[in-house]
Amino acid sequence: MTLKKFINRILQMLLVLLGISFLTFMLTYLAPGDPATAMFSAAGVTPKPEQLEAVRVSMGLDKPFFVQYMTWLTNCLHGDFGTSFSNKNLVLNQIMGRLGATVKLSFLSMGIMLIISIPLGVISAVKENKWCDNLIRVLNFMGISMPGFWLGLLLQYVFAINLKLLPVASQGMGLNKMILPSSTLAVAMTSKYTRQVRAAVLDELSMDYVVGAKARGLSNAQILFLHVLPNAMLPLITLLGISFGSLLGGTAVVEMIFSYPGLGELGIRAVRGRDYPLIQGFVLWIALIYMVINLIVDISYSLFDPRVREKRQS
Amino acid sequence: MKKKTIAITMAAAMIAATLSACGSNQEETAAASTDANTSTEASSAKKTELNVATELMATTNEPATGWDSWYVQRYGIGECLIRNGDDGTMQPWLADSWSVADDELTWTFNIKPGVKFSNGTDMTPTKVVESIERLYRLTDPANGGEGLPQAYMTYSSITADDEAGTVTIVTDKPTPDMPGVVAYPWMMIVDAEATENIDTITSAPICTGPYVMDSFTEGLEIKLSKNPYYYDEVPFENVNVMRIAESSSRTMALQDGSADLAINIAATDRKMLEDSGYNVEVTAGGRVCDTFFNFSNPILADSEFRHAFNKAIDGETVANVTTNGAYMYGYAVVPSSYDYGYDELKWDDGYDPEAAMKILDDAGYVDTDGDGYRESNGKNIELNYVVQANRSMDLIAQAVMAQLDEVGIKANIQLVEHLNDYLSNGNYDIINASISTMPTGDPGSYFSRWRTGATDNSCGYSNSEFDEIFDKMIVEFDSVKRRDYIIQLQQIIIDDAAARCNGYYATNVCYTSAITDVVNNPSEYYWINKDIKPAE
Amino acid sequence: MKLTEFIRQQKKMVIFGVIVIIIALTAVMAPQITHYDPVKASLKDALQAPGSEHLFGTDTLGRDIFTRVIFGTRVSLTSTLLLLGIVLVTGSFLGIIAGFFGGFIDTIIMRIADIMIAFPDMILAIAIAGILGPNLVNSITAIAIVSWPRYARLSRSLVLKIKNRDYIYAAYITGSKNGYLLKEYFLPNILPNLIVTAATDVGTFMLSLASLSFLGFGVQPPTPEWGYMLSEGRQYMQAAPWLMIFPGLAIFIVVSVFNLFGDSVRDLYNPKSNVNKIIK
Repeated sequence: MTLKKFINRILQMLLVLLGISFLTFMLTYLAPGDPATAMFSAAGVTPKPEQLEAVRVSMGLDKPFFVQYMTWLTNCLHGDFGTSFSNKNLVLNQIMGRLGATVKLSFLSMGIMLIISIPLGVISAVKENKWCDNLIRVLNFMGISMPGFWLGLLLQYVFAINLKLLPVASQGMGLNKMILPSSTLAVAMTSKYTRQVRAAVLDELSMDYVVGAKARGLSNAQILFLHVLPNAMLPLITLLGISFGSLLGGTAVVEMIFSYPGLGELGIRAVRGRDYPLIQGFVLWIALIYMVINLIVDISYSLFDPRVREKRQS
Repeated sequence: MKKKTIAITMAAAMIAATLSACGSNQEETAAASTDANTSTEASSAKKTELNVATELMATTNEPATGWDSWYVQRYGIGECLIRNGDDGTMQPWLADSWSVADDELTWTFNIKPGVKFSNGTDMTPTKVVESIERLYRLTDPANGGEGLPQAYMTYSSITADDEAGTVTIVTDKPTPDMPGVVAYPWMMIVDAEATENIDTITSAPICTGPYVMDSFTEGLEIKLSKNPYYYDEVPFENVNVMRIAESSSRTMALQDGSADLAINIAATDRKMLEDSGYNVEVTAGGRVCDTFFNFSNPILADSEFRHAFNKAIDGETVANVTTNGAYMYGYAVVPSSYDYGYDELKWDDGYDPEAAMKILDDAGYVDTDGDGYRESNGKNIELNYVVQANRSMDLIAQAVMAQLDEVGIKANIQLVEHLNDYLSNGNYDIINASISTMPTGDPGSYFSRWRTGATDNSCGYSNSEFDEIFDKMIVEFDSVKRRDYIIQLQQIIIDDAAARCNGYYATNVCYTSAITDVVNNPSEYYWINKDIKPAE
Repeated sequence: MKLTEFIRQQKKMVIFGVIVIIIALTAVMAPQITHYDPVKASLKDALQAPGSEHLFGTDTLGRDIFTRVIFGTRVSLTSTLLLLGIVLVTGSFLGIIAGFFGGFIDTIIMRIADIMIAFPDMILAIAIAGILGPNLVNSITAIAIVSWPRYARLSRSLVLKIKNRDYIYAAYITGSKNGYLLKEYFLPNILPNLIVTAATDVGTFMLSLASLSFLGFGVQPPTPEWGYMLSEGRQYMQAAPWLMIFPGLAIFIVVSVFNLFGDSVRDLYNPKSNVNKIIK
């Protein structure tokens, strides 16, 4: 990635973030009732009319929409995401307290996904239409169709209760407490990714150079490991970035089921309690994580593969 | 024949999978019973950590905010001058004794000597006064506070005598339940000066309890450790409180060993836990599930309609079967286990759907358009039933709704996260609320919900006879007279069908054999305390 | 092509198509399949284990789980189809407009779409559904809001592909109106592709709706909906595991069938599957 491209990419990212911030801010206005009422109810307080009015003014709700947005945005840029309605704690503190846990969970799931899906995908492609390919494809279909929340509950039921191997709740975040949530998250992703690996390897196998290599007398294993795989991995890196998005989306449900101390759990509770500043912070930060991950993926992609630059320029 | 074939085809695959799942379940449950004791025995040799699983957790640790003080006390951090005894009487705690003067206004508390805060500072009578003043300052409606403690008691003066070791409080009006007021969790004694510098959202105030807070992850986890300055022995080095919202997951946390003690397990799981060797303590405490009617809705303001409502519902089945015993059925708004004349009350609104329909027919609520639901003056009756999904209240609502349906009344359930704004906006027709009836060890203040013009009267009920008796009761020191008034108030609510009681919540604690001396105090104020010890 | 020949060639699609029809029939004929009422409580029959009386057992209100699962097909199918319809219409409408007119309109629509796509959609859907208030319509709205951009992108790219073809140009200079052009040339070209994409999305949409219901942002009681039934049944995981097993199984089976059907439809339309389409 050239510097110019990099800067372009960053600018693009900022633009998207700006758009998301607007969208997030708009969310508050979708709601029935106004934020001041929501604030009191989230705190479990019954306000008097004059209290409500005072809070409306202090929250700037009497100002025009755009002014409110700009004020909020400026504050966000200064790292001030406001305070949670429910307990007046700084949103930023709450999010920072949970960020690490979610990132850890996501990476662990992604690790599990890669360890399983790459070998399966490669086997599936190499043995195209043989019985093991068919078996893997059936398993993939099951994985994709499996509701994450049901799988989480089943895993709890089997591993935590019946087999007593792993804890059901994830407070404390030891590695053994992360196995069930990360496996739950990994299943759907693994299934999708295995299909992608299979398709990418199949694409490469149909390239002319494979035929050429065979003609030069290279063994199948040599062709696979030295040529096909390195080439197939590159497009898969991009897909990895996109997968990360679904992964983050899945964290919310999984964290809730396993009482995992991550952003998703915080976000769901914020949504249930209509804690607007917290919801806004949650949505914005998830967007930020997602974009940073994709930026890293893009950069690594172009670093690894000189062809990309050529292709793009041509 | 044809529909059966389709049904069977659809079901075949599903059954196959379940049979295997159900089959394995039974074996495993049996295996678990032996497990409960063996797995915990190994660790009991040197148990220094207590793990507690709970459904609820406050969002802050500030005793002056809402009802958050309950939690600070439940964690074993804060203590009050007086404690609600396990038998419902008032017991000395940070005060050795107390008395009221003949004016029925001046209360003197003898403060326990030798108590230190968790920072090492002595808890003197002056400190006690500062603590109470802090609470009343922070909650003062004039400063934008919520005014919750003020609803129970206001004082004209509070003074400390460090020499004599006493605190004297002069109340504005006679407050017969003063010991209970002082035992209310927000009256916990904090070091006001030292707490100034503490962010009481994410850390706890400096108090006198056996444990101090090390870390707070809102809504999920709290880590506590021993208070080195505690005036008595502290049994555990560390305590972890985990919030596990689902009852089924709390059961699992006990089973998989990640929790030693779980608060409020659903009745369906309690039986299983008991059979597997866990300890289960159930008390029908002072908590009720009341259904309030919004009197600004003309249909609900009609007492005929409310009586029909009551008769339409099989309260006993709802409590025993639907909630599976999570509630003990009772028709009076004060729990029958307390001595407030349950047996003397006259109740005519027992389950009788025929009678309910007759009342509705006679009162002109009939179905004229043939949709199966009754109308009022040609307009469809459609009640908005607001409910929160905790303590099985959503189940009660669904059962009530189903039974109303039987007599032709349509109700729609609205599940909400916070009840309070619905209560305050009156944005409901009927609402289920879980209420602690003995907040100060006495149900007196609970009845203000039906007192005309009271701040917590959200249903808009108004009855001059009720008001008159209430006003006499609330300042009555004579316990016999007070009890008598309370019985009269209950009878008025029954006669008027002013609210519906669905039953009394069976609070419970379940724990493994690794710990001992766990008491399920009916006040629900004390979960973790100095008495819970590792088993020998 | 003769029907028998088609069936022989498209064995997979026909088989799954038949199962899809069976599922749809289940939804339509739910009252004929079971004689219980999915909503009516029978309090005394609470929590009965699966048996001859109640094939899948009963829930806490004594309702027959089999009946609720069967009626759940109705809720699930209608809401998914509604969602699909909304997304298909709004997404492709915006995409076609963007592609057809280009310029400012294109920039605006596609920038918004970019923003929405560059975001984990489930998170936004949860936030929107939760804030709008929990009910079925709002959860459909929420997922529609986060899903239209993909259809907009697809239809726009399809429009651009044929926009510069000679025959369009010819029609344009002979004075054909925009509306006529869209109707006569663009829609017939774009529609099949969009419908195929929609077919592959049915399963995903169904899962998203069930997730929202599971989290409590979807249907309200007593509607029989699988996701919601699961979250209710969760409380009785050990005492009454059938409450959790059957609704979950129903989601799993129906979603599987629709996924397989969608895939076979796509294979028919475009034998060499496109990697990128599988992603989302």
